[in-house]
Amino acid sequence: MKRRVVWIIFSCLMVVAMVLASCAPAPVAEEEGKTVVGEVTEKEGAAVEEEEEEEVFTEVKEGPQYGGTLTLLSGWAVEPDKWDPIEYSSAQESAFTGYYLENLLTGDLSKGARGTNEYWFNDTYWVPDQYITGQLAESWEFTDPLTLRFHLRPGIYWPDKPGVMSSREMISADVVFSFKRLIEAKATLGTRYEWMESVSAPDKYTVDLKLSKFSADWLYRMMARGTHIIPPELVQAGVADVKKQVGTGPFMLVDYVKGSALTYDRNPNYWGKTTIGDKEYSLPFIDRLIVPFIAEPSTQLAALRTGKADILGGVEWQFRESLKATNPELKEYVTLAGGAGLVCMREDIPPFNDIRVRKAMNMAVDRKAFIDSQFGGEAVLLSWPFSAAWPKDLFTPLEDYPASTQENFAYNPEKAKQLLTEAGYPNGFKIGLIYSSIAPATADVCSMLASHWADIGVEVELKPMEQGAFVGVSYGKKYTDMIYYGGSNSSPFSILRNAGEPGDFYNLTMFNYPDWYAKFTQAKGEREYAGQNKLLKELNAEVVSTADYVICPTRYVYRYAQPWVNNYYGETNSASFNLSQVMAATVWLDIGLKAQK
Amino acid sequence: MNALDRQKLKEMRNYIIRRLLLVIPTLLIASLIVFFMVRLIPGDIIAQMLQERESTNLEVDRVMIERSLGLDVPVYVQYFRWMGGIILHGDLGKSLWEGTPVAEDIAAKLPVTFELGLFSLIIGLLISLPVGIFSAVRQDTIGDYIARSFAILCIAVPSFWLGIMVMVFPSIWWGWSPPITLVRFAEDPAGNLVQFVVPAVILGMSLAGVTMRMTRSMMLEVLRQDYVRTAWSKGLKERTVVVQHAMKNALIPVVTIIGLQLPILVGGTVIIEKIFALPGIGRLMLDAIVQRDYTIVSGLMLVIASFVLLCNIAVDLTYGFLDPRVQYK
Amino acid sequence: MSTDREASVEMLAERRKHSSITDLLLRLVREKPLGMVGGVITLLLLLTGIFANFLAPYGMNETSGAFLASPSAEHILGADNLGRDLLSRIIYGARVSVIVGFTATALSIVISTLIGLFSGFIGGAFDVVVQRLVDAWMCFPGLILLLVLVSLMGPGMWQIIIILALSFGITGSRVVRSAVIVIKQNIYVQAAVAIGCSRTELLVRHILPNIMAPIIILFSTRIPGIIMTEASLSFLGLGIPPPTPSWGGMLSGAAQRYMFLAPWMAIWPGVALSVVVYGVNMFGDALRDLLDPRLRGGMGRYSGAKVKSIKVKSIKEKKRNGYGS
Repeated sequence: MKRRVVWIIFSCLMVVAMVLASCAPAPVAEEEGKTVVGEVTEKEGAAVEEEEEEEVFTEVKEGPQYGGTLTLLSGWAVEPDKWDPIEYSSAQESAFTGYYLENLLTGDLSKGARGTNEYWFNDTYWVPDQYITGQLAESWEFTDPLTLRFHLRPGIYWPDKPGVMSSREMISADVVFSFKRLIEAKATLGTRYEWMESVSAPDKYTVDLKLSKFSADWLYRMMARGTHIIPPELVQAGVADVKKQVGTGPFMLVDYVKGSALTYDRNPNYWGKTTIGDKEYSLPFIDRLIVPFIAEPSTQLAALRTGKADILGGVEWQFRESLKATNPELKEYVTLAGGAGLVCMREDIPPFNDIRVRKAMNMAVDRKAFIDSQFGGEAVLLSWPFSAAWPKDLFTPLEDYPASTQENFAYNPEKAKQLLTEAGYPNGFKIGLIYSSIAPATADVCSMLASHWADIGVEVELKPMEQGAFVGVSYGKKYTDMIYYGGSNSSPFSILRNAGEPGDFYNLTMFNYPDWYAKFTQAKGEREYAGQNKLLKELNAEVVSTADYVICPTRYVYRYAQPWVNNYYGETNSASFNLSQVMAATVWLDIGLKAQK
Repeated sequence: MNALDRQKLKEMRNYIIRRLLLVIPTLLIASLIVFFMVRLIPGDIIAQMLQERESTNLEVDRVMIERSLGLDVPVYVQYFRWMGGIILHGDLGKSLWEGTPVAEDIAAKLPVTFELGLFSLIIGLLISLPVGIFSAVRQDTIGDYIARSFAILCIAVPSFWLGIMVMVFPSIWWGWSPPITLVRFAEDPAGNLVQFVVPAVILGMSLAGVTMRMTRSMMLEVLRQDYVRTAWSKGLKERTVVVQHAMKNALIPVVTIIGLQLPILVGGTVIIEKIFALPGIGRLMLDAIVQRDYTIVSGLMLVIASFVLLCNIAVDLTYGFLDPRVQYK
Repeated sequence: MSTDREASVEMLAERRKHSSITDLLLRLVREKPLGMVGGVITLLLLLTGIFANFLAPYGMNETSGAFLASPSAEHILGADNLGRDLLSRIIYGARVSVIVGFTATALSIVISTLIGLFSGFIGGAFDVVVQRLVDAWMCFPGLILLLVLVSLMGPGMWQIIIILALSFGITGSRVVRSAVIVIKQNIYVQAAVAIGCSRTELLVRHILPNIMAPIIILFSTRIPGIIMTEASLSFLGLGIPPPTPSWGGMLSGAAQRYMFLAPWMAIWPGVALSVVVYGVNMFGDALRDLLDPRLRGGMGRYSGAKVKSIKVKSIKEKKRNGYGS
């Protein structure tokens, strides 16, 4: 009797568990209003291969085909948190909203590998001004020094979204509404958009944005998350609600399983078109885009090997050989990582207040051994503050620097010891190196650096800290040790501000040169690209020359695509962490090839 | 139902009431521990937020963020607000980073952890009970050594290492890997079971190791009892002796062990969830701790604590079913 | 009365003489071969940990140019991505495991004993309050609580030791407490009270020696758990911070990334961890089988000194009674 009771309880628990697991948040999908080319089944990811997908294809042999589900692992290990564009989000920029919300401007992919190959759309937030084109806007100009006029593209429609809005054309009133919201929300977004003063719409397709002052990086800000254009209906229905999201973009958000994946479906009435060969095609090609959140590299790779992921980004060099061996059919794309490891040395207190000591620390690092051990022999020596992928009117390659700066990047322990002796440290000194333990590779890098410095007599004590504590320490600015952190390239103005503005959160070296800052202020006010870029280039070079940092080499990162993914050129983004245009223009080969996997 | 049964039921009811009453002070202490411990962790959330926002005016932004998150009042006021919210409205507060209600986050992810934990427990029991009993009955024979070695191997091989191996090598050798997005039971029962069974086996094995040994030693003890010797001398078959006489009594401490493992239903699975990309509360907790999302951590810990306390009561009640000698004092 | 006292003291002394270490070891070798293997492994672990400096061919963080070198004469187990010799790092990892494992366990036993002893002995309201606190602590699943504690105290060897000791100590106090309660109910304790033993005397002379068995068992069974938990924490990046080699830490991060280029980086620390946990567990098991009074003799329930005298009589007789000891 008692055993039966126990069994009954057990079975009930089992049933309860399964019921609970299946009652996990119901999918947001609505099927109405979605023009489906053929039958796309409900089952996610893994099960796709076995399905009888009665897709209707235009051309089977040559040319692009419509249909299919693409599973994208972008390599950015974040999950969405906020859906309202003007609310600050810790997720990367437009990584999730960009698929359905659009901006006035975006990056011009035809200037990348897809077209003229002038720019490597690599892993940074920023796109250089000359590679920006209109998205919702067709053209723009300054009608007077502080008024920016945008001419909107006609014929763009908001899709039907039951419970939110019915389809209608996107007009200037929407832009005015979005920007007004942004301007009034200065409080939550801090000082990023403080240069926008007011906005008005002279007619249905024209928007006038009045600036309170000229901000030189306004183009970049126009592509960012805060300036997504949203309809008033969305705000009325609840803009923070993931189930209500709607936009003019190539995809529509249909499902969000927290911690697991996002699902987007094709927007059948998207305005975007592309020309392949001599035919014009409506975008996007794929029917469904799935974006899972997987943090563990082994899991990501397993998904790629077994065909569950169609595109995988952020793959490190260690896995290249093995992938080539097990999956030689994969297409590989190389991209330069966005950022570099930085050892920050405080130049306001000893011992690093003497530039000779900073130079010595730089010369003691055997960069070749570093690259061989950490990056498999392939890296770029200098790619910070400005990225080596940025155009030459901004970025100064190492060989163009004066000899006194170039020697910092060469391995010369004898000279390093000599400089130390000159500076008054004939027997070296002791110092700590603080770093965050959140990334396992950091410990290896710091160990290696410490062993190099030990060779010139500098005894470095490694001080790992938990991430949150690390942030607190860097924020407090009371440390006396060196700090290591992974710097990113962000955008020219942001990164220079981080490196050179006194009091900035990231100014960990206490860089403080009034002349430099005056030039920086001047650059921020420069209206012409040529003048601006010239100043920025100089400012960047000056930061490098102070040797305030030991700038570690920048590695390459690899992306892989399955052989049936066509018209993909390995771009990492087309705007600030925004892959939507890339995905919209990416095409399937026939499902047959994919189904064989 | 005779008078004895009725009295026992009444005793049990009083016992349950008493235990539930005792749960309240325990939960209060637990809530205090949780709330203050989390806030003692160095490096505050505001600094992290400021870092992310590229603020140009740190002081102003800090004040503004603090106010919007309700962190501008002293800690004990925050505590009372939080407890008040729970007791009066059943509201666990809102995530500091996302602004979504904590209860929603937990409700979304708890079923996954629960299912994983349940499968692991069941698989663990299916392995450990038979092997433990066998090992005890055949003590010091080869079979016993093998079984014990297996049990300890289950504990010795780290589950995270095993998880990585299982993720990596099948993908290379057989082109198979577990699904990377959550397969819901309602949509695809078979797929859901397959997705959970692999991590559950890995977890179940390490649970099994502990239970196996406890089962074995308890069976050993029971098999030495006088009444078992009596059964032997009566000439009963081995199976009768073991199953009918020995097992039930040996299982009582095993129930203790199971009771100790029950918390896995609500959160012992952080590493496995990370490796197998399962959106459970283990990962939720890990991320929340790193990001210092105080409300999520506090709310989640409180939910977990309540669950564990209730489990303890349930386990104690089970003793009553198994052992007629147990009195609800 | 005084002669009774002396007699009981004598019996205790006799008991102690009989339970000498050599007796134990002999029984271990004779009756529990697996446990002996485990004992050997534990001993090896201890020796490796203590003499790590002499045994390791290279320094623990000595980088060289031999990145990812495969096993060879120079690097017997290969080298890692910074050119550090894997064998040396595993040996030093043993030292970390030994230090963390044994120190944290010892500390946790002290905590368990203190809490369990006083809580069980004093009883009453004190017991109720303390048990509520222990309950509240045990509400939280182990790893999660450890995560919070580690974030609280930051990475570092001593912090980890204290955290592990605290966590395991509080949960282990339950075992000690129940043992104390069982003993408290025994006749000889009541007799001692009747004689007029002071509380301290009761604790030290009567109760403490009798709970030594469960304490030793707790000690030996805790060590592998603590070693494994430290490995899990290191795997999550929250354990002993690199570059100090810890087997768990060596299995995470770098080993995963270099798994295909240098599989030895992931294999050897895992093997070491498994062998050590296996060995210590087996040894602990054997110790428990030998020491657990409940399993001795064929007498079933625990019955103190009486068991000893029967044991001296004959082992064969026990075997004849059915299931060996």
